[in-house]
Order: sequence, then C-alpha cells, then structure tokens
Amino acid sequence: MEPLDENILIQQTLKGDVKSFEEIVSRYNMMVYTLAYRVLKNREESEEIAQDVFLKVYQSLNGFNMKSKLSTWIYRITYNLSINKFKSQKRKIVTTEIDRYAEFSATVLPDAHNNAVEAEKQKMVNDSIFKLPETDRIIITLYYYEDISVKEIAKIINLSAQNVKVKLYRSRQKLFKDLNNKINY
Amino acid sequence: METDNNTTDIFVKQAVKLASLEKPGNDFVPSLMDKINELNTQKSTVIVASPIISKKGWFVVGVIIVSIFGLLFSTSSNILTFPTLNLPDINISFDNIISLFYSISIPRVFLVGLSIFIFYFILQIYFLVREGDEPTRTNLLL
Repeated sequence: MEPLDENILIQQTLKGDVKSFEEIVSRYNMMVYTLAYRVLKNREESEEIAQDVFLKVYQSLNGFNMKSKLSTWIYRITYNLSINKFKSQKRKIVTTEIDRYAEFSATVLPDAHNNAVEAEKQKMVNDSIFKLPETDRIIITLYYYEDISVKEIAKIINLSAQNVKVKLYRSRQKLFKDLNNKINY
Repeated sequence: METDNNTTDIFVKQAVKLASLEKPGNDFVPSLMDKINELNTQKSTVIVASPIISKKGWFVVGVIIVSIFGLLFSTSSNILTFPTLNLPDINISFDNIISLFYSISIPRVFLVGLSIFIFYFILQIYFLVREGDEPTRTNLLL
C-alpha cells in the first residue's frame, strides 16, 4: 500500500468519486472492525462502530492533512469511538465463537480435524487477548498485526511513546505467560 | 535477557497473527456505501438555513435599544416629547387628523416598560436561535 496511491483515492473521493472511497473501506474495514471488536467484544456493536468510523472519515475527509498517514487517522477515530462507546456502556460482554465452528465442513475428516485444532488455538489466543485491558488489546493488535511503530500507536491512542512501550511490554509478558504452554508452534 | 525478550516477542507475534483479523458481515461494505450515497443525496437537496435575525438586524435592534435608553437618561422629565415634521398647509379640512402629528407625547414609564419588554424579547430569541443551532456544533472528536 503506497501513500501516493492512498492520496489519489482521497483526492478522487473529494471530487465525488464514491468508488474510490469504497476502495479505502475495503482496505481498512477488517482492521477497523477488529479494533472495535477488541474493545467492545460484541459483533453487532463493533459493526455499528466500524460503520460510524467510515461515515465520519467520509464526512471529514476534506479536513484530513495528507502529510499524515491515513491509517493513523482512521485507527485513531476507531479507537476514540470504540472507547467512548465502551465507557458509555460500562459493561463487558463475552461472546461465544460458535459461528467459527460452523464454517468447517464435516465431510472431509482430516481437514476438519486440522481446522478444529486451528480454531481452538485462535480461540485461546483471542481469550488471552481479551483478558488484557482495552487499550492494551489495541496496542497489541496494532503493533503485531499492522507492524505499526510505537510512535504511531502513541498518536493513535493519545498516550506518550514511553507509556505505550511499557504497556506493550507488560501485555506481551502476560500473553506469553498465558499461552506458552497452550500453543506449540 | 534480550534473547528472552526476543523469544517472547516472536512468540506473541505468531500468536496474534494466528488469531487473525475479525471479519464484519458480508453486507458491511454495501450497507455502508448505501448510507454514503444517502448522505450525498441529502447534501444535494439541503436548504441552507439563514439566521432568524441577520447581523444587520441585530445592529438595528441594538441602535434602537441604545437610543431608547439614551433618551431615557437624557432627561429627567416624566414625559418625553418627540417633535415631528409639521406638514405643509393643505387646503383640505383634515385639521383634526393633522393636529395629531404635531407632537407625540410618550410617558417615561411607558418607555421604560417598552425597553424592558424589548430586551427580554430579544434575549428569548437569542436563546431560541442558539438552541436551534446546537446539533450542528457537535465536536467530531478529531
């Protein structure tokens, strides 16, 4: 994903080309949804927040400073909206990942077994991530999945880089302690 | 120590990647684009609202109020008399009507009451207009 390409998409969107914005949505929708889900732990609400994020991005695009990264801006909006929603609700909902198991076909046994093992591992990792505080979940996801630097993460969640480093270190230790004996690579 | 940190880092990285990204519903993008198209349709038909009282209007109102208060304090008389233009002599028997326009006498008490009434009336309009504008002032949290 090259910055120039994104700037072209932004410029086209500002000229009224909705298809260009759809391309931006396609690139970021999974990450935005994941970040929202990591905070809210509820799929319907996470989808709602993700939609709100993109609507806000679309309405505020003319104010976006093209020298900054689009991803940082989008993730920052996602974080703010998700945390605000979480604080307004002040509740935690644990969802059961039943739908994951429904995806796999039972007709081919070897694949079904391997897929079930993988699904179980995914569930363990997700459960461990959800044991972390909300902000730490976001940090872990952004750092390891998007390879975003500590400095950029600090801009997204509005904390100092030092603070982010400490949280990252602690979260990493917790996840390692929790998962080390459960998952083998 | 550093090796342990690296080991932990690699392990956690693999674990997080294993968790993979969550995927929204299949209709996420289509429904979002529908909302955006709806927004664009609304934008093209929006009527730009003009303020109830324009800045010039507020200026005129302000001048009137200041004038009234100025007149109130410029004299200690209980009755204020405003001289008017004397109409030229007209050969029509409108004497009774014309004589009414020679001068208008307004009691001071009436002016005070009128000033207070105008002041509170304008204050009400100010708060009503402000309340009407409230939804457009929402901070976009950026």
